[in-house]
Amino acid sequence: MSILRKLLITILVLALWEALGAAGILNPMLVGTPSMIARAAMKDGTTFLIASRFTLVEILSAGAIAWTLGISAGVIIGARATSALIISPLLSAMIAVPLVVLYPVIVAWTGIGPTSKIIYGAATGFFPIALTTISGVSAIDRRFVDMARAMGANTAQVIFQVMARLALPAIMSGLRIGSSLLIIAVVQSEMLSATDGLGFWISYHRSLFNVGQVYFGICLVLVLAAGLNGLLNYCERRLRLQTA
Amino acid sequence: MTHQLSTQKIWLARLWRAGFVLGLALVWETSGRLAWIDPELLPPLSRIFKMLGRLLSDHRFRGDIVITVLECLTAFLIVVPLGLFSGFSLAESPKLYKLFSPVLQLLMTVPKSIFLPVFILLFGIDFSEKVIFAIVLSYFIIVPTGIAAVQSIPSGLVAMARSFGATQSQIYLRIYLPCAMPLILSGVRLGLIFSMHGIIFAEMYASSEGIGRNILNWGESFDMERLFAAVMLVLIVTVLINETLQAIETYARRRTLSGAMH
Amino acid sequence: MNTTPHHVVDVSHLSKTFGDGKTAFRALNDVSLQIKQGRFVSVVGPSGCGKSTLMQMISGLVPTTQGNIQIDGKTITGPQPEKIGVVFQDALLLPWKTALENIEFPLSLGDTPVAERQERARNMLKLVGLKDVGHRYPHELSGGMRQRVAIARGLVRNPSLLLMDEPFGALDEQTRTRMWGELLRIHEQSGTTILFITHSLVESVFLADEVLVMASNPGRIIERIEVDLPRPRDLKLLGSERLGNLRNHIWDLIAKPDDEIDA
Repeated sequence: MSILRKLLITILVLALWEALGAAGILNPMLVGTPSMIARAAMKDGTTFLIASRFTLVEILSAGAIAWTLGISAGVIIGARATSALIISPLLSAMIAVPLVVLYPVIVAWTGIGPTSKIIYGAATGFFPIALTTISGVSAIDRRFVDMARAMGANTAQVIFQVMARLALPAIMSGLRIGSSLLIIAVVQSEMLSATDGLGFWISYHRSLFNVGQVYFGICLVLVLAAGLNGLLNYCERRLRLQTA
Repeated sequence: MTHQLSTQKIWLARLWRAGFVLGLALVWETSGRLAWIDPELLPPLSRIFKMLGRLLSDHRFRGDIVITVLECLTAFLIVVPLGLFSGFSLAESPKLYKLFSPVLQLLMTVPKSIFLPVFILLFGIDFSEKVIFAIVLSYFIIVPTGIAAVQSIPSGLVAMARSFGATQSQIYLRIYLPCAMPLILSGVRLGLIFSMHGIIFAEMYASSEGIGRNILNWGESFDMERLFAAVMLVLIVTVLINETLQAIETYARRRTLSGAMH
Repeated sequence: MNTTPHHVVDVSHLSKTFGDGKTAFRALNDVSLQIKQGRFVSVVGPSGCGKSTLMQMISGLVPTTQGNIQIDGKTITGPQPEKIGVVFQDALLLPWKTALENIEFPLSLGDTPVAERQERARNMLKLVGLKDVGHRYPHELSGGMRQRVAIARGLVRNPSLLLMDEPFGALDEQTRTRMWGELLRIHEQSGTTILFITHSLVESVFLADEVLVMASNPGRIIERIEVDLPRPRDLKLLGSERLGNLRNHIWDLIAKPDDEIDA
């Protein structure tokens, strides 16, 4: 019932949108209509699909780096109260900085190819992941640490098998925030300067005023971001269920 | 045994932090001086700051700074009241909340920055386009803060004031405002920070002026000293603004908390 | 050095000071105690008398300032998981592990083969009377069950000493009484030496062969009391005159030094 209604509303909106365009109320040089987007998809669909894969690979590589570095740095820093006290204000200060200003530096160092996007994306994701992990790990019940030590756990076992596991809910929310920032960051950086990828093609067609292609590219980014976020939420829910 | 933070410990941590930053700066400086890293790629800090000084006295760059600051301030001054008022209205009216929260939640999850090309198609490449983009970007971050601000008001206090015969405007002014102050201030801070993020990205993407444009140009022409000087400027300014506003926020939070306890 | 081999625990002239200079705080002053194999010794005292500090030092979590702690004739310098099992106040079971996995935890930290680990954990589960709930997670267990799992975890490495730090402090009275009976049975069956820290006078007398009464400022042992109640002990003993007299005696000791009621 509600799905049907949603579908109906979507169709109505699309029809209205198209009608407004056809009636000449929406300027086709500025606003794309569904039919323009469809035409763009027919014409440049393959290019955009290849670009999607390119972007996806960049996002996944950046994610792998940001997750690994962010979690391990966060857990190691958060494990000791003093190091958390010293480092976390520095990281939270970095979150306020528009990291995008670093992107030209990264491009100057590593070139215009995918490497610069991966580094920039990883840096964007790193700070929130590390910061949330630190606060999660330093907020755990320290008596569990005493318990594990008394049972014979060594430092690594205490940190990774007990502290990190206890902080898992916080780490997961850090991963969700960091990852969605990272996805946007990769596309953003492609928009600024690149040779391929969704962001690049959106910017390319904008400069040619190919309105349909611009909107089509944006739609693809939205689908990609929503898909990755959905996957992440699904994993989080599964993990929650397992640990209860 | 005791995990309470003494002021002594906090100051010690500050000292360590300052030492850490200083050490980092020192490594940076020497790495350039001793050419561990090509100084063409990573100029020593001293040269960057010297260049920053030169840029700040250059009237053309100063003009760019003025434009960026004006854009940020315009966006900030519009979006903070707008966002906080929207959040306040939504939190106060269940009807409005029911009507708008699904749309709002959808728009909050949508990445705004990829719509920048659409803003350019609609508004061209000028002052208003950047300001509008920054407003849209920040708005969806401030609204939830506004909602949280209203929700942070202890309902017991409102009931207490009402039982003593306070009028609605007295309740807003004397209960809501002081109780919600910490979160209002954090809305202000987020508004300013994200306005800056939006403006700088918009300038870098397409613009003929502003700090962001310069950063991108100097990057593309491998003018590393100027590039790093401008990056350093943005970094220092944002960190300073953020830390100042956060300190005010913490102060306000402590005041509300201690007020609630007595 | 008077290392008599049949003393499982030998603490001599133990002192602990926290901080230094003006803010120095003497938590423990010249504490000595010996426990023979198989005995059940309880330590009772008002809060702040340093009994938890004593426990943390014996478990090797907190370094000593002065004095010496020997377990099985060897001076300890850190946690001794193979010699000492510890049971904490709030069970402290890992929430993502089942009851059985929690009991396996101390073994999993070393290199015990998985099969042996599970076998030993299952035996422990049987000992504490929970053999049917091994697959349950901590949040699916009652408070008393959780504490029994914690006892099983403490015993799984077959330690010389089981150190219990107010293990029943967070339980309601009925559950606690039932746990006393359980603990007495477990002690009898396993024959493990137990050092039991508590602030409950009745508990300290009812469970132990010997009660060490502590006082605060600085934390010290002010009296040792042999409990001559017969074993095996029955819960009915709780209402007996002999137990009541011992309890009152300890109360007089603790209440004497400062008869003001503190907040």
